[in-house]
Amino acid sequence: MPSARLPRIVLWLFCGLVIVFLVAPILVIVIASFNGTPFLQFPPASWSLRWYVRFFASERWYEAALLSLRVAVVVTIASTALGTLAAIGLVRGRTRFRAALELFLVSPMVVPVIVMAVGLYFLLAPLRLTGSAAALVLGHTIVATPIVIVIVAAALRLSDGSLELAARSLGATWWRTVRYVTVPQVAPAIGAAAAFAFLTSFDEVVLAVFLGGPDATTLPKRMWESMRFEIDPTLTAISTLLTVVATVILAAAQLARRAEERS
Amino acid sequence: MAAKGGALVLRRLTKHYPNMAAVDGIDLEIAAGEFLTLLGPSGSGKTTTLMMVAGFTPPTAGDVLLDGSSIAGLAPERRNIGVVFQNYALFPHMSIADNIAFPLKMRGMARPAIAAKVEAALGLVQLSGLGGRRPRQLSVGQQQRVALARALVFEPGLLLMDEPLGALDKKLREDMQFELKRLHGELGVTIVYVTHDQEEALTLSDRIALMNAGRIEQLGRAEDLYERPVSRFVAEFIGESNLLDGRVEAGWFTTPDGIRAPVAARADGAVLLMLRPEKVVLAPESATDGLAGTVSELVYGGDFTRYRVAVGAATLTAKIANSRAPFRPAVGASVRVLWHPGDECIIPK
Ligand SMILES: Nc1ncnc2c1ncn2[C@@H]1O[C@H](COP(=O)(O)OP(=O)(O)OP(=O)(O)O)[C@@H](O)[C@H]1O
Ligand SMILES: [Mg+2]
Repeated sequence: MPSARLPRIVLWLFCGLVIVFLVAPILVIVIASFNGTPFLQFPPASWSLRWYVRFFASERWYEAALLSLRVAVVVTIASTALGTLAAIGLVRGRTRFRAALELFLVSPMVVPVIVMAVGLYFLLAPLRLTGSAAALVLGHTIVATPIVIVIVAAALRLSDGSLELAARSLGATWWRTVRYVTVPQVAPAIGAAAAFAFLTSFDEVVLAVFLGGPDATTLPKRMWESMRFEIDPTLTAISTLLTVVATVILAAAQLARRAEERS
Repeated sequence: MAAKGGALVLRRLTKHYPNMAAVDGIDLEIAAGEFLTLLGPSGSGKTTTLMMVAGFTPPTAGDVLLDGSSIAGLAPERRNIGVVFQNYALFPHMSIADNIAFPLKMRGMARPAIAAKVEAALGLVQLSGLGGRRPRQLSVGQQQRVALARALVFEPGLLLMDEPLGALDKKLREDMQFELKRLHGELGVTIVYVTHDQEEALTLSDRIALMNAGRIEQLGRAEDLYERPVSRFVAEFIGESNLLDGRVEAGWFTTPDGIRAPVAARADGAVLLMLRPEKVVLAPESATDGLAGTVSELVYGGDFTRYRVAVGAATLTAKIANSRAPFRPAVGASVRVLWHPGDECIIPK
């Protein structure tokens, strides 16, 4: 019955197109990164690893990557700690203003990043804090913390609150309850949240442009600059590496979550 | 583990939520070593009362005293009260042994002492050798025992249990009731137990506080509540009952629709007459006394048969043991309904 099958075929075709649309840009970049000619070309006329070699050999790129990594690690630690505690307070706390507080705490997610960047710039400039890694850490933590709050709060809402009451009745103070019972309960979610926080900082470009100044240049900012002034094919290699890093981190978080569920 | 029971006193304990009183000024004195059950329908305030004693819900008013001193201002972890939750609340990421060790660890006890205590606690609930397992690797009944061991291992004077057997099937529930009675006898710990299963309350408790809408409707031993209920609510909640509205005058109970029976009541006035179905006696129509009625329904129940007898406008239930029932009327038969003087209970209005 071709008339009954037609809608299915159309549906599959449509889904296939959506997937191609989503994946094509990444594929183009990945393929272009193995290009052997000295300029950006797609499809490549010859193949080589020269852009990867160029990336690792260039101090400019290497330093930017190192700064990104350092900032991202500090941001991950800070936002995971802050966000987890905030989520515990929001979900388990008894304050009447819980809903308003939650809205306020996750508001950085809805404020356009550019607005946040301009605001922070004017706030930090008089304090001579712009152009430093500290400014980047601050800005990225503000953006990453709400993500942690949302992920951890969702897990806490699903977890069994009576475990914490039990811990208290057994003699654990509030802090020890958090440490021995609450956090282990939602550890997989905290891990996933940390992964997202890391990537949020590692990939971030708007705040990096506004707050980094000439001295603190992260990898995404360096990429952006290199796009503006010259079209350097090293970009394709870096983009491929960034995609791999992101994929690996998210896959690891996902696997850890699965393992936890099965144990 | 030889815990000595603590004496618990609730003084005008009250919890108001917006627009409602969940617990409405409860006064209760529970002796050291007593097994007291809070019984009542859903929403009557049992859990709220227990949570105020445990320290999880701050009271609106009133006081909680344990062994004479107020604990109302103490954080839950400083009250030293064992709590068993309905879902057991075992820590899934810890082994059984670590679960039971948790309260000892929180009290800073040394490792060797902890190990010995955990072993003893596992033995007490007959789970020796299972310390290495995770909670989800145990059956529901075993998890229940672990929860009990964990709540008792630090030797609290008071143990609170909120419908701990609610999730178990009938057979397991009866085993656990037996087990609980044994532990209570062995340890001498004071237990406040919450259930809405009246049979469980009757079996387990020294005394029962029957709650209704945030208040204690009646406090007493199982027999008191069963045989001498103080209100229609108690009579209807505990067991089966025949209830007749009427008046007592000069030793005679009468209802507006013509029922008339002699009773052993002291005072005259409007009353509620309660008669347990197993106290009802059915006699042949030829009997000289009793109320005339007609059998309208008959249900065979194994060791007994339940008769419904229409007496005037009322229907009375009789529960007659099959083992020695000389008189077995059929549906439609005319009978006489009577009871031994004093078997009825007169509840003044
Ligand atoms: N946090 C709360 N906010 C508002 N009302 C509450 C809250 N907790 C309990 N209540 C109300 O207080 C009343 C008593 O509740 P409680 O849980 O003590 O009843 P219960 O006797 O334990 O009932 P059940 O047998 O269903 O467990 C209920 O009407 C309930 O809706
Ligand atoms: Mg309850």
